[in-house]
Amino acid sequence: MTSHWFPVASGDDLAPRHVFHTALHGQELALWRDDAGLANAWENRCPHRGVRLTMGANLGTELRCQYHGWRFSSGSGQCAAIPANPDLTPSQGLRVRTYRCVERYGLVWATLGDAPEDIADLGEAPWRPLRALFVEAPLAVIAPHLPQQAGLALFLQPVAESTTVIHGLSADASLSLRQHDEALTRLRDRIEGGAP
Amino acid sequence: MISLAGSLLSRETYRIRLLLDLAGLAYETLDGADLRIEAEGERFEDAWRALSRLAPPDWQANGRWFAFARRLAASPTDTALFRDLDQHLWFGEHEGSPFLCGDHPTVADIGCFPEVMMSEQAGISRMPYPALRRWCDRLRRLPGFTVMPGIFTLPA
Repeated sequence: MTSHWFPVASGDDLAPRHVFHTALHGQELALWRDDAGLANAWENRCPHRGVRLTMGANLGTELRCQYHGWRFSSGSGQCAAIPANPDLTPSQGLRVRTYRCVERYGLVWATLGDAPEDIADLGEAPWRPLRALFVEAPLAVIAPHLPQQAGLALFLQPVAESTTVIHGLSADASLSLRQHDEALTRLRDRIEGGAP
Repeated sequence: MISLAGSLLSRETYRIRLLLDLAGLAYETLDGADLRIEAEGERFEDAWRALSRLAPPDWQANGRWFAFARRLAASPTDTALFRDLDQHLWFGEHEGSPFLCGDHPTVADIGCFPEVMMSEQAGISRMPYPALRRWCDRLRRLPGFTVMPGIFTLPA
């Protein structure tokens, strides 16, 4: 289960110079896109003092921790600079833990494990990501409620034991993003309200 | 000169500081007293001109976000309000409105910001509200943005 690939954000969620906050199987992630467009999925923890990197700043090629200003390079997570020791070259291995991630169909997918990609082949349809919804319910509770609908692909991201995100892709241009959102919001409210 | 007295750790004082700073109005602060604002020898027209930059495009249409800010200030741990904000801001991003009432920040954004930014101290994670987190970034990058303990600016 933990070795599967899951959507963790939409491509648009990783706005320029933003650090996106999510989690997979209880593991908090800091996702950020560098100025060249590369998406990073990092453990949300500075290796120095353990502070959340989502409190820090995306500098375009590096992520800077808010606490002591340590900077980490896009791609490798390698520590690039320590402001308190400007002459020091940070040792190899002083790095943020990174996870594999790829972008497909407008979504960012990641895995905590080392399994090969198992992202479903959705074909060439012009998929539009819908607004992702956090639901206060375990994945197994939500799965049976997901509608089967042509032109709609829904995926579940197990954030933590009792929290799940529903990610949606639509290839049906006859329905607006708001119409999809209303339907998904009703679904969320029904599930959280303890629907049978 | 405008002088603002109030606790520098309170949401209310912070809201007023943010308003004055984003409007570009100079003022002095006095810490540790009850919230009070005075403007000695200040030209009303100057202050009004500065503040009207933070007016909503349409008072009527945008009115709900003023009422919303008051509700949020009264119920800063009501996650249903956070969900409403996040949804509104997500659609705003897709429809060219990066702020609550359109393309520029207004008093409605300032009204909501302290509660949103201090939510984690109140035990509410912002992880489930991604569009709200991006809106926080946009506000933190505005010229004149004010910091307070625990709230930082962002580099451009």
